Amino acid sequence: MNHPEPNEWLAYLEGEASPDTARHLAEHLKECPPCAAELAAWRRSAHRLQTWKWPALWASHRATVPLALKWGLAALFVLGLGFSLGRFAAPRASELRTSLAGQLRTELRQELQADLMAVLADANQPAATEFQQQLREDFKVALARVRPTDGTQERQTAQDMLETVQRYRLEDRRDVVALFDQLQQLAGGYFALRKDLENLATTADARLQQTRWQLTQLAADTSAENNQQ
Amino acid sequence: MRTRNLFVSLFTQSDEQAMWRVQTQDDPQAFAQLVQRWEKPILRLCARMTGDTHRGEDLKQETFVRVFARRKNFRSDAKFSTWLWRIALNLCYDELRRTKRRSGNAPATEPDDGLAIPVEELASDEPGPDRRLVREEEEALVRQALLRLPEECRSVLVLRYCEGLKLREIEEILDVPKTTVCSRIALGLARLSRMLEPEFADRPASTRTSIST
Repeated sequence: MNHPEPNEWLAYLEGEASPDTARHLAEHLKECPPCAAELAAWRRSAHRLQTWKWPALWASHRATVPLALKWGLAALFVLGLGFSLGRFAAPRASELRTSLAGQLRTELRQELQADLMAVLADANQPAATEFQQQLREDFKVALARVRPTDGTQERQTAQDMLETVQRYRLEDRRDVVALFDQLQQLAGGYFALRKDLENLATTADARLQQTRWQLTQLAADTSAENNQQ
Repeated sequence: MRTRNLFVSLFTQSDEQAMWRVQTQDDPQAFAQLVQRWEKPILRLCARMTGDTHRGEDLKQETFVRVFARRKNFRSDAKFSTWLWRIALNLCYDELRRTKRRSGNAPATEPDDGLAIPVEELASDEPGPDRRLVREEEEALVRQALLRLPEECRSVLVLRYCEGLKLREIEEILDVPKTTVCSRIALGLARLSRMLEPEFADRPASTRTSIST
């Protein structure tokens, strides 16, 4: 029978043998009592070494472990107590925030108003605080942006507006003149038409008169002839 | 132990951070932290390698002296524990060679009476005097058997089973391949078993270690 090598047994003992090797070794142990006895002896020796307490240092070792643990736990307890007291004794964060915010807002508003009044009250008075000085500078910058530095822009604007107005008036006048012309033309045409109609009426009247005289003459002539007969 | 280590690690700096402070600022507090953290494991290693708690104590102190003296040699990307174990182990080898030369290759086989803390001072849930005595005898047997092993086998057994280091860590400490570490452990277990099995087989059944196979 071929017996496995000591290194193979050690790998088996340490649980580092491959599955196939472990299976093969387990089979061998069933069939080989000397190897089984040897391996069992190895296990016992390993166990004796693992449980070997010499030199006996465990007393001092055991004393320090619970002591360190106790101190650690005590420190944790004190920290936890302090944190809990601080956390639950203090007002809630949201309430604190709201009340603080309200107070801060009121105070800030009052201070801002006072600074603003100080800045606006007398421009020649030097600024009492840095914030007032800054406020004054900011006002100057804002005003400079809003109004022009001299009247040029205003005059130019006025001139432009005047020119625009004049242009509109000129255009309006031209339109009116054109309208008058049109009306005049229309009126002229009307009068011409009236004159023609009057001429026509006069002519027609004259012809009518003539025709009536001719008829009268004819009637007279006819009557005279009748009488002669 | 694992819970304690996790608890401690949450609130303290790592070994590498402490070593960095020792390296760059000669910080005594950082060094004290390293000593406090590692003195017991190093003492156990040195005592088990030499079989003597007093020599183990001396070697432990010398280990930390050497750590401080060679602090500039510590690489910032290295693991402090690996470096520390290696220093302690090399000092143990040196001491064992010195002892061998002095005593003519006779290892320390007599039980050592200089225990760090007397057994009576252990916690009150310890077994009664008879069982305590039996356990002391068993521990003395293990100690003697371990001292009879070659140094290279002894060191790997102590690191693997007494200190609980993984095989990969032992490879890095000893700077040898994994197969070498496994061979040494296998050889050590085989020899240790041959020495201890007959001794423990003669003891009463209640004191025998029972392991599931």
